[in-house]
Amino acid sequence: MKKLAIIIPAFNEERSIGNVLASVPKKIAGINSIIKIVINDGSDDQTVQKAKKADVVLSHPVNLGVGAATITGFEYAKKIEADFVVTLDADGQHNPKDLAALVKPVLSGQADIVSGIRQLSSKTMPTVKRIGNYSMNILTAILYQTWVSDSQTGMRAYNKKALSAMNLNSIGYEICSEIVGEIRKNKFKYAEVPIEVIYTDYSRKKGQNILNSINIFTKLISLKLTKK
Amino acid sequence: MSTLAKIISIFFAVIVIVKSFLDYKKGRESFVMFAIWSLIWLIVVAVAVFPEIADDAIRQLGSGQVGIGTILGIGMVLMLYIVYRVYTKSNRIEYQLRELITKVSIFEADEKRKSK
Repeated sequence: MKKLAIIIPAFNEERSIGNVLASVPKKIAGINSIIKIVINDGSDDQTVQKAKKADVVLSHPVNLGVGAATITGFEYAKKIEADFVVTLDADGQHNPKDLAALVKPVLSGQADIVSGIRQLSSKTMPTVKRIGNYSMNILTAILYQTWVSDSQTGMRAYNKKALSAMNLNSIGYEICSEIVGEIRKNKFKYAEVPIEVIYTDYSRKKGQNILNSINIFTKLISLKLTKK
Repeated sequence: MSTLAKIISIFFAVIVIVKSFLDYKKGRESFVMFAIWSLIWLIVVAVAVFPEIADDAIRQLGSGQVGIGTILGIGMVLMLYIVYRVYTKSNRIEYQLRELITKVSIFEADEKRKSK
């Protein structure tokens, strides 16, 4: 009985969360049970009400950040003894049809962590975001001595081993790079799978850009120094 | 620098280094942060004991007034102490807050599930 937990951190995502949940496939080859978990990170809109199709909604009483919401999701996945975990953005930029390809390497034992790689060279990605993502790839490699094609992707798959071994402390977006650091630290088997990114006017406004890269990098340095 | 300034600097340096060491021993702080704080405060003590370092630096910046190094030295000691306390406390509180919120949200979801 293979259980997959799909973790969707959400902050004020009333416009997209319903569609994201509805588009998650009901069946994935090799998986017996799919549990959709929304982590409402202190939203002050109708995110919770719109997340009716989620199997579980965990609510942070205050907004902390995507890192904190992801960690809450991971903790819950451990509690329900999920065999595999996937993280998905709530803004609708990920295509849930890519889930099957994403989990394949962890299902087969080829990888402990799989990253869904956005095509950073694609012209559909806004220039500001593209520069921000490239910058973060370089900064992540400098800090963690690990080069990955898309360090800031929110779509990743994990097996049980990775889930229990990772020691994450990030509150915000810096969690994406911290996970890259965990790959090196724990010597995880790592794979990358190309994914489609759906850019709408809504999803363009969300996520990271070059301006918050500076903020993320500052937080990463602090994290690197203070992490036990 | 006056004897008072030297005593104040050494006093705060000892507090910070001992506190940082105890935090490191209890696993509340990383070794790197303990080493950084210790190094910073050893520099502060060095400037307090050998004030000519600060006076030279001030002179290089264009001021010929003797004693300004003393004032700056005391100000720096107090400022660094405040920064140290704020930094360690905020870091710890942020971590504890995240843990608390994670536990509360999971507990509430479990309670809701049980009551169904």
